[in-house]
Amino acid sequence: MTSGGTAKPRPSSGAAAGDTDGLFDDAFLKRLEYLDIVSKKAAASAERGERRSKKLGAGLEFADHRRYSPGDDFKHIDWNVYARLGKLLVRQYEEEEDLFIYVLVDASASMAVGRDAVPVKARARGEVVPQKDQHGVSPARTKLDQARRLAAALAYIALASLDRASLVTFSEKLGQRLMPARGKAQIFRIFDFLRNVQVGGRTSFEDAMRAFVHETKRRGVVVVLSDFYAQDGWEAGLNYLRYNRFEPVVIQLVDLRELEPNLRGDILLVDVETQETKEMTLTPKLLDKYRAAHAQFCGELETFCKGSQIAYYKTTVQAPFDEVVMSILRAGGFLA
Amino acid sequence: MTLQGLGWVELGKLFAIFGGVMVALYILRLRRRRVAVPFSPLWSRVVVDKQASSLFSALRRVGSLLVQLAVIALVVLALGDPKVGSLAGCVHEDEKPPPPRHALLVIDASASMATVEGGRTRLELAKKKAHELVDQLAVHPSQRVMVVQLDVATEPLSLWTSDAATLHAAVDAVAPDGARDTPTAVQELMSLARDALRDRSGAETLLVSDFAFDAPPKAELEAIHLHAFPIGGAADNIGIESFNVRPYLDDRLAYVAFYALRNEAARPVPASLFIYANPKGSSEADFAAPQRLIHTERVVLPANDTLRGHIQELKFAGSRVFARLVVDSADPMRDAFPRDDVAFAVVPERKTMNVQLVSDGNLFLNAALFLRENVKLTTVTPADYRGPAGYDVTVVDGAEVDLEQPGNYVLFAPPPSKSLVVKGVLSAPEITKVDKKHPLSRHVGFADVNALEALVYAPEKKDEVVVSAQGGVPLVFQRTVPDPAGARRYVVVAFDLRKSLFPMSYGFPIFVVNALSSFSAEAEGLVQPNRAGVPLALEVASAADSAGKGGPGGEVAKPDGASTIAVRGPDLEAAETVAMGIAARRVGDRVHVTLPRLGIWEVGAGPSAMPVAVNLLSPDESRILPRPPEVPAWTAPVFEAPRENLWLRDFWRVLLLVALAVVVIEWATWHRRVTV
Repeated sequence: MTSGGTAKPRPSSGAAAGDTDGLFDDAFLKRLEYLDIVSKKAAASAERGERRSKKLGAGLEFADHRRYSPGDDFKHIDWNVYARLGKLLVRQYEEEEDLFIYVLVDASASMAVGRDAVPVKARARGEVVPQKDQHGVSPARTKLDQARRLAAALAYIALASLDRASLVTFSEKLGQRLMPARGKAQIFRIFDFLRNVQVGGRTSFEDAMRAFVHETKRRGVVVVLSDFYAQDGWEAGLNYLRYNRFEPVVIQLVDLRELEPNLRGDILLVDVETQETKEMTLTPKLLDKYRAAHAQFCGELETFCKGSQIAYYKTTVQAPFDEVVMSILRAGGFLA
Repeated sequence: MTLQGLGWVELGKLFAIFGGVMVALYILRLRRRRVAVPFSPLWSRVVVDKQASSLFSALRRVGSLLVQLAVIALVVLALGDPKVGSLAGCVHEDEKPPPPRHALLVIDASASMATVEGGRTRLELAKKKAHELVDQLAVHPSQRVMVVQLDVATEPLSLWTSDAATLHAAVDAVAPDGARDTPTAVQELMSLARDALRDRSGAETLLVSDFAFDAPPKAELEAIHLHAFPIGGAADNIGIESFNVRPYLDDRLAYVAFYALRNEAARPVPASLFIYANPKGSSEADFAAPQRLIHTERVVLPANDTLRGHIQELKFAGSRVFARLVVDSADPMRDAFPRDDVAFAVVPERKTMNVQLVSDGNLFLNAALFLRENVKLTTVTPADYRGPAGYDVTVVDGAEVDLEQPGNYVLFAPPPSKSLVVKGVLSAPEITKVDKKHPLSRHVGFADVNALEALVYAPEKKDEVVVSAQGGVPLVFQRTVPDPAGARRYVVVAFDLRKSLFPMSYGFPIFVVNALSSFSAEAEGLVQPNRAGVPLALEVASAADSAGKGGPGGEVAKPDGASTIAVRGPDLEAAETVAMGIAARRVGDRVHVTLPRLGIWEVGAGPSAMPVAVNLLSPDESRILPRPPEVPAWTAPVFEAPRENLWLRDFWRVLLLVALAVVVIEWATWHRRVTV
């Protein structure tokens, strides 16, 4: 997988010049180039349309047989099979076309929680929370930051693979949208788009996915970056994508700080999305229960994805984004 | 259960206050902190189980409040010092207090308590005994004691109290500088005891004393329920019972000292009476130096008796005398009470008399006038006579001079004048009457006068006739003629000295001295000594008269018409006496002051300060053998503290421990989030 004869734009300091929040700084861009190189080892095609879609059509690669139906082109009838079995079967071929990769970024209010928090246990242990990782990349502060970085990285890899990448934000409805584009040069638009993501509202997967499906004609891979904190659940939304021939890839973002809240005693919990309140008296025992409930919540999502043949990745805000991307690449199912 | 601390009402108020504060704080604590979370349904899953036990949670929260209120209740109840009848098998016995008692604990601090026995003074022994009595008395609140110091007056040193610490402190405050130099005011004690014990239950007077005084009648002692605690035993003592010094009547330069020395020992005691003089001395230390010794009188004091005597021809400078009685060093007797071995005396200051003799020459008269050592004689002729001004006495020997000017005159056969009218001449007068009590005739005999003739002066009503002849003709008389310009005082001898044998007699010089002395203010020459601690009323010239008569300075007038006068004591400056509360106060023509120490005090300031000798001079105090009255024996209150458990007696300790335990448990469970 190469960029062919096209000019190879380097996401360099020019991109970082407009970076005011440190989200896409020079270190981040260097890691993107590294991911670009690594991702080329994972896929070995250098031509356009190098990714095979599941769409069956006029390609050269045999895909399957199906029963003949009146109206089918006779030249696709497999006469050898007919001679052996006496049944009319039509050969089907995989149709090679450009792959559309849609990155759906959850921009609900829950994604921005914990902007200034520091893990309690890390602080209790006296550890100094690093400002930057070993590569000089600033750590993400919120799930939204991590989502935007992952979205940018995945989009960059897709663009580098001459696929079309599109970004969409959502909460209770579909939000901003960056139309599908191809070529590495588009990465700067993607950066700008991600920087300007508006956060707010509650999460409603079904409504958002339904709107996305209706507004998107070309099917493709749909990477969903979210914490999946949806009041009405996430099953219906993911199933809607599947049922409409999209290939959902689920990346669940978890903020470890949410699992270790620095809270004790009598408090009033306020849901940032619904503003619902709940009086509670926090005890260590209750926090253990909360962590167990969160693990159960993640397990349910993973179980659902595996049962539905949906690629599922779980990562944390505190994990370096490039390692997350590499684990996704190594796991396959996204670019392979 | 009974309360011995705060009452139920007070405890209820305290609990209401602190409980109210606790409830208010608890309500404030229920205001919860708002915390934003990304996904509340997850928390809802967590609290599903808790919802089921919400009632228990509510109860636990209320329980936390109840625990706090219980802690407050325990602490408040502890303030009430509750007494429980029985608890956990331990039996608390109600105490059986002794009958109420009001004991007036009197400690004698008079002079005799300075007697040293066994290396300690009687006062120290008395205070030790008083401490023991306090320990026996202050065993229960029903046993109330008042500590009183007794010397020349009575001074309560505490209120009625059963607090042992207060009473011990009061006992320590009894004469902290040692016994006073004063006698024992027994009647003061009787009066105080009657007043303090009137209508009090269990009244009694505990007198800790050496009883070196004559006790009042038994009936009076029974009235105050006296119990005696004698201090001290038999001890030998000699002392000065009385002492004074006065000048000779006819010789103002010589003095005679009178003394009375007491011996309490059962055998004669040889001793020496040392007499010292110091013009500026005030304390024993000022006098007792070899260079100030003026006389030593060796005496043998009879057993259990008083030796009285006098010392003649004492001559010294100044006016202050000090006497000390000392047992001969060879005698084995030890004087247990040295305080009465000293005495002070003040004699009048000698004054030189300025005498003018108006005569053409009379050797008899000249010789007689020179007999008196403190006479400054000036002799003038009648021609040079300028009047009596500037002289204390003018002696006129038959000369015709002006006798109408104010002054003092001694006249021998004066010629007729306005004040002395002569009616005739009496030949060969025979003395028929002599007033032997008159100062002019003291030590003088007139039997051998043998005058040839005498002038007969017209008598006046106020004439004091000392010697008269036949027909009542006055031969020697004294006349005072009042005059607005100044009185004229005459001593008149009606015959000429040259025409009689009077100058030849031994009485003539004495008569001259008597005549001069009759004009002197120091005729008596005896200043009475004073006793320590006794209120004195001194006749002291007022400040207004100070300039003329030498009254004391340092007098400060007060708005009420009285005035205060500075007092300086032996080894004490005026400021120190003020700090000790010693001050002289003038009311009218008397100065009232109480001087507590032996020595010579000075009333007033400056060179005109008046010296006052203060002595013990108390035969009762010198009789140091205790003479306790026969009074009922004293019994200490019987009070056995009930045998009881310490924790039950002070149950508040249990309450506080329980409260502390509850707080600790609450603290621990709160930190482990068990009770939240």
